Amino acid sequence: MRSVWVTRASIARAYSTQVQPVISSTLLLSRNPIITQEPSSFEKQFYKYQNELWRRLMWTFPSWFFFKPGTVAEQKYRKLNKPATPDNPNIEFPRGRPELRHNRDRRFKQTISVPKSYEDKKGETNAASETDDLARKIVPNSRITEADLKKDLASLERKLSRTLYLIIKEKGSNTWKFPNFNVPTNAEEVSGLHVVAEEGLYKIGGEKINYFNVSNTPCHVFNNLQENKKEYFIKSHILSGIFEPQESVAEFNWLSKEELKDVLPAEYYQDVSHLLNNV
Amino acid sequence: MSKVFIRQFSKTGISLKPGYSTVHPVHHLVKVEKSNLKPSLKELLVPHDDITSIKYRPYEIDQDRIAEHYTNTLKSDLMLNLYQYDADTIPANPKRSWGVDSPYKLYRPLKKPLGSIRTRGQIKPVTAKNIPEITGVTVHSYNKKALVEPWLDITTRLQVATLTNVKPKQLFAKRNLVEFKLRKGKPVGGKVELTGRDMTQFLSTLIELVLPRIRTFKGIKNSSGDKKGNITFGLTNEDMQFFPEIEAFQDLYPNMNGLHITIKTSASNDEQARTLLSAYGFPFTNA
Amino acid sequence: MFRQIVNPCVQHMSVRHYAGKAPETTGREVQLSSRRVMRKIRMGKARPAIFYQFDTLVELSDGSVIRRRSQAPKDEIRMLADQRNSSLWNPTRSDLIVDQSHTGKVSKFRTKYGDYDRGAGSEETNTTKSDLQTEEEREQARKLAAEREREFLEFMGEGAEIITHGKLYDKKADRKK
Repeated sequence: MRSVWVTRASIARAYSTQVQPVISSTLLLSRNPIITQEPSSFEKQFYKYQNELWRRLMWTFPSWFFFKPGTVAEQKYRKLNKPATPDNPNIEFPRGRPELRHNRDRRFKQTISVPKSYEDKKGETNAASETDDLARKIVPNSRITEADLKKDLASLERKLSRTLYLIIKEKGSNTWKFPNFNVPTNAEEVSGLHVVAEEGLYKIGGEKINYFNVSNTPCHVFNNLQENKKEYFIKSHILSGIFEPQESVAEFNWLSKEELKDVLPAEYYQDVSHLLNNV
Repeated sequence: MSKVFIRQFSKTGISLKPGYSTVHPVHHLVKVEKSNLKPSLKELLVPHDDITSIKYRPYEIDQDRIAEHYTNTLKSDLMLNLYQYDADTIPANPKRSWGVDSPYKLYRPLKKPLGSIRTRGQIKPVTAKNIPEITGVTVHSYNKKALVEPWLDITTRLQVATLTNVKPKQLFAKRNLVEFKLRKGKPVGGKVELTGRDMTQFLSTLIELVLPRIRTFKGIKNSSGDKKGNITFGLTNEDMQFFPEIEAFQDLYPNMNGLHITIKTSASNDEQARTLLSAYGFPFTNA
Repeated sequence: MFRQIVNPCVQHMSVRHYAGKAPETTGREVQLSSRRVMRKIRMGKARPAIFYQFDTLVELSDGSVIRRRSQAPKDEIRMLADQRNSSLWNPTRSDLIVDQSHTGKVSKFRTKYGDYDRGAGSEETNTTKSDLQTEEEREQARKLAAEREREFLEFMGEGAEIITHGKLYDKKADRKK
């Protein structure tokens, strides 16, 4: 108890004797995940198990509804899905008798293959037709981008499944930090913390950024004792556009939480780590 | 000698009376489930989330893209966005009593709430414990043509089942109204209550595929909502063709019916609910 | 014998269906078998209602691919218009064509004369920008501009002049009075 009182008093004295701390706003600009997370191996197995149970419990596919008898579509469908073996009392079935209802063996899950809606072009490898052709097969895009392969830390297209944060290195400085802007001290120019952060972003990154400020309320305050600064954190997302470093910025990176841990000063990181997204 | 007859209280009556028990009868209060009594229905007693139950149904069948987006990104943003400094709980605005000084006032239906027609629950400041989330979606399709053509009720329910992948509940007309050809108990469509993966897929279908293609759609009206954080909007029968299930097989669904979609949220007022829904990608408009 | 018993029954059903006045056709007729008898599912035997669902890949207009569960037998769907290229969801994007049918009078007028005011200025910048353009092309552009102006004045009628002041007529405001 006594020690607490002592520290409090010392802080109060420090402020009263020194000059007022500079108020500044720090921009926590993040790029949200663009694709889904990679599930862990346990999650994958769990989902697979549940999905198979679900498929087993499914009702019979009403093929008579979607493929009307006597149509070309039905012929194609019948070609792909051979009818199940009917139960014949004269035949011995060592693995158990089939239980047919609506052309479906009830003992197993039903697997239907549908006619392909794309043209199968195995021999051709024409790049131009592959990108423009509307009848091509849909293949999900790769989760790993070029920027990942090149290890381009300044690219917005890296680590699509993670939240990336903008950090900069100012000219003449050797430490990485989140972009920080001092609130003007003279009475005419003084403005809200979020306004300072927004204007500052345009100053360091050009005006080709489309961003969204989550709130005008800061989400955190960092007491920078070395520079006698109070840094208020303004949370913001980049929605589109590009960060083009202006003169005052020497270097910039888009990094995930783990990468920030290695780059930011340890004390600083420890103070802000709870703000950063684990995903 | 005169005989004096002293009239006595009858004692036989008590023994002949059937008597009554001071213990209240229990069997009228307990709802009897047949499965509890009948041995052949034993398997119904197994809880439905047990894999051995006949009612078992797996729910977590794959990765839920929208739910993950909510927990990873939207939740923390919403907490910051809805934060208000030094906020207090705003008390509820319930229906009011007329007074207790006369039996007439006591038993009269309650007065409507102050300054409003509808009641409102209390609004608590948003903390990490009560961040608004979407709790469910109700898709409701009432087909008044089914009053004249009973089979249209079947197509309406089929349509709702196709759009939501959930078997709809039957809707019945509630009262007799001659001018609307309503007869109490007539089947008039279906409704489903969506939760979990069915809900998130329906929402993402609406946001990404259906609503952007409706030309007349300018956004959900800001006036929509029940003051308790539930927002409703409608789709007409012409809008149904934009659902991908129906788009590819339009000739199978010749009689489409519109939908009423209610998005139920845990938000305490409509403003918070609108913030939540716009985070999901629903546009709102004043017009 | 058996046949004779069965047939009237079917007839009876169909007669009952169409008895009385002709059914009002509120929608397109659907063939529903009147002979179908629903099998009763006994208590405790009902399985949960899980419809057969396909995994359908949906490619959105920006190239991203999502997976959906759908009862319709389709393996993949390619969207040409969706959230990613809708102007309502992307208000900052200028490259999206504004949702106009190009059939209405106003949109026709806009496409033809929308840049009338900017016409002279933009013509100038165009020519200065591309120095490689020949003299002939410039001449052609000038002619085109003149032609457009003439057409515009013709369209507006004789004695047309641009009014730069005053109030536009407001139907609502008028009604209130």
